[in-house]
Amino acid sequence: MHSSSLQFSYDGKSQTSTISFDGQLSKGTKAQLELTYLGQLNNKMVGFYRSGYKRADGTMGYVATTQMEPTGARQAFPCFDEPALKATFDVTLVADKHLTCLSNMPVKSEIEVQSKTSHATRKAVSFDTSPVMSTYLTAFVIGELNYVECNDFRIPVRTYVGVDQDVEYGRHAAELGARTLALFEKEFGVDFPLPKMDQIAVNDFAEGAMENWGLITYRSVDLLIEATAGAAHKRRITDIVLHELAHQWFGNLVTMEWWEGLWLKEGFATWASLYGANVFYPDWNIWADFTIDSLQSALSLDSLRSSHPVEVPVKSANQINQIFDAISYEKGCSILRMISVYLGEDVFLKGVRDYLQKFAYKNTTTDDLWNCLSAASGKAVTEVVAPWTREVGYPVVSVSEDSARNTVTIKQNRFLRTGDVTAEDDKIIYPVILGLRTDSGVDTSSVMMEREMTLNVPAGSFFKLNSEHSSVYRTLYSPEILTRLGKAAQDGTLSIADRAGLVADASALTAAGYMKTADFLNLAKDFKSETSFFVWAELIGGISGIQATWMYQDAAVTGALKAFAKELITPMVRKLGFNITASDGHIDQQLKELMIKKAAFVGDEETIQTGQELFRNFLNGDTSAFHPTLRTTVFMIASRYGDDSVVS
Amino acid sequence: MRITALRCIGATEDPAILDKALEVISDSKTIKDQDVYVPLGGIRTTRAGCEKSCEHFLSNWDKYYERFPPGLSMLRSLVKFFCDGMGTREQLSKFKAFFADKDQQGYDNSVRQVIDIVQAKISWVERDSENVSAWLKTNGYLA
Repeated sequence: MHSSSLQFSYDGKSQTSTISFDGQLSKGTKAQLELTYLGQLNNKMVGFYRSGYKRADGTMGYVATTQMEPTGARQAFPCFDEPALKATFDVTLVADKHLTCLSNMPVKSEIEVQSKTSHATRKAVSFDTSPVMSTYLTAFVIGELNYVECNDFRIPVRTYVGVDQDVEYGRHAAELGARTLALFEKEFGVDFPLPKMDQIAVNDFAEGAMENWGLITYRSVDLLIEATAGAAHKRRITDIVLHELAHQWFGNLVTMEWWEGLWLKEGFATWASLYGANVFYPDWNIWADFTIDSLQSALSLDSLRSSHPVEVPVKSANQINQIFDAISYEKGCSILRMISVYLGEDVFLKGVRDYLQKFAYKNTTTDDLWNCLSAASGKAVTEVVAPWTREVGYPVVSVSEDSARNTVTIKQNRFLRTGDVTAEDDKIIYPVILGLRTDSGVDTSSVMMEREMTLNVPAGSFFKLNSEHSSVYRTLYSPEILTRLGKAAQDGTLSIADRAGLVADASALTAAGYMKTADFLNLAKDFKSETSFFVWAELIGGISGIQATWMYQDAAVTGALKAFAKELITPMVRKLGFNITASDGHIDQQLKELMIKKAAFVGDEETIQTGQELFRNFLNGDTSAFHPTLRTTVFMIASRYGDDSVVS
Repeated sequence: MRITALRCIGATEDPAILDKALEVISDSKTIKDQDVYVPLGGIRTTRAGCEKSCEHFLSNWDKYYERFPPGLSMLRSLVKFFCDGMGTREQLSKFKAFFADKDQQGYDNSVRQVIDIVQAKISWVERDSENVSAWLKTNGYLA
């Protein structure tokens, strides 16, 4: 049927257009709708937009690029723009002949055309048909580009770079990309289905990166890296490249039915990124880093009454952007970490492989994942895990001893940073995977399914809850138990993650009023001989948190807090020195940066003077005056303690 | 390098420089939209910086609202970056009053979260102010 007149109506609120036809279309038949439309190559970094760069001759150039997620595809081309409405896509881009044209798939053909808009001869570049996929993953890029290619993997992996950048800075990402595709293909049990993988550095990019299938876009600083870069930059690139490549499976191959299931891809990509980084860089101690970074981000946001469940109802397009937050990403990741430890990583990965194979090219809900993990493990996974994504928040587990009865009892209650938990807030009973550690080892299988419970542990003995902080909860120990654990920390009985997590919990409990601040300050003093970066990160984080909260108090008090912090860290600062060299490992670099930066902020004269001297040398042309890892610190010192000339 | 410099530029306590830094942020000609939050890293390290950044954001709300459409990803992050460094009851009241009659679609989570975050800090310091001062005195950091 050919329709000669179509009626169009547009609903701004629902962002939909309705097209009415002369006659009736029969269900089950095929129809072709051809629409000619005009869009805007905007500068809002959404839909099909323009990203600027400066050419060598000083003129401004633009790369046309896309950002479809979550609802930008409808701004680039009329479509059924919802993740469950998957389709194949055949893209043709018409552009000036000297420009590179990219899309999800490889180029199929290129022909010369007469442009109706520019009246010049242009090229029409057509791409192979994409697999069945969601609209938010489509991508097209047109611009003056160069690339480097890595062929370590069975398909080529390229990093595309604008002509204003050094293309060699893209080599690390291409090699890492090849390595990662090989790892994920093996561990996730499904071959990467596209014939190529491109990663492109885009100057104007709102977020960090976007996982468009076969054509991943990145903010330039998050993809390009010099060989001499410091630990933080290297870690950032690793995190983000692995995250986007994990999406090629979690999100692209298997997609959430609707945005309330966003965590199914973001939580997984965040977890997979850590998993992969741990394989490639075992000396980074990724799972200890997780306890001070991802886990704390999740617990921090989720301690607010204004948090939301991981599976969060989303009604309108306007709301979708707000749930790309630490709940979907970091709490989602933390829940997966928790389950993988509970089931054992091998069993967990088996369930994940089953899930990916079963639902390839389809859409899923959270239950689909739980069912696969239950089947793979033979355990009642749903009962233990489902509440964690369905309910908001998490509990604090209070521990007390009764020496007369020789019992240790624990009780769970909802945790809120404002310290004002009501009966309504406290209704949920979370299935707490305890992770109880005693002298006999760690119990990874016991789950607390009630409000209160007695532990199978003698009063006064050594024990700690939430071993390695792989479960999503905080622990409040009675003062006596906490003192014992503090001693265990000092004499080497507790692991790095256990020490770091202990301090992190104490800090959060103090902020919420479960512990007195003076008690936290005493705890910090007990840790003055600590050697681990991860534990110092939490100690300094906790003290800085107190300082930030006390920021509006009397100068005498804020000065005194500063003096305490200075006294606590000075021995370590002197021991470490202000120099980072090639022989400093990844973690050592981070420790030095952490301590030197804090020393500068608490007014350590020696640190400040050294920093100022290094900045002067740098300004005078010595580009290797200090290691890249210390760049932020040195600049901060110059800005904070320098005079006006420095800031200019 | 440029990003690092941007991050550190406002780390000073000098009010004139803070004002200049905030001026830079608010002008889309001097800073990319995506980098607007970067200087806040330095600015927020001082009391003056925290105070000025929230004041500045509310005073220039219409400009920011237009530059960063609420349905997209950036505005709701900026609400937090500019404002969750507040620490007094007075500042919080002003913030609540400011947003009470606004259409908060696209960033309402952030408004609620800022209120929770700041309220938690206020409660903490009110609860433990004496506890901390006493400890600092006992341990010789406060006269």
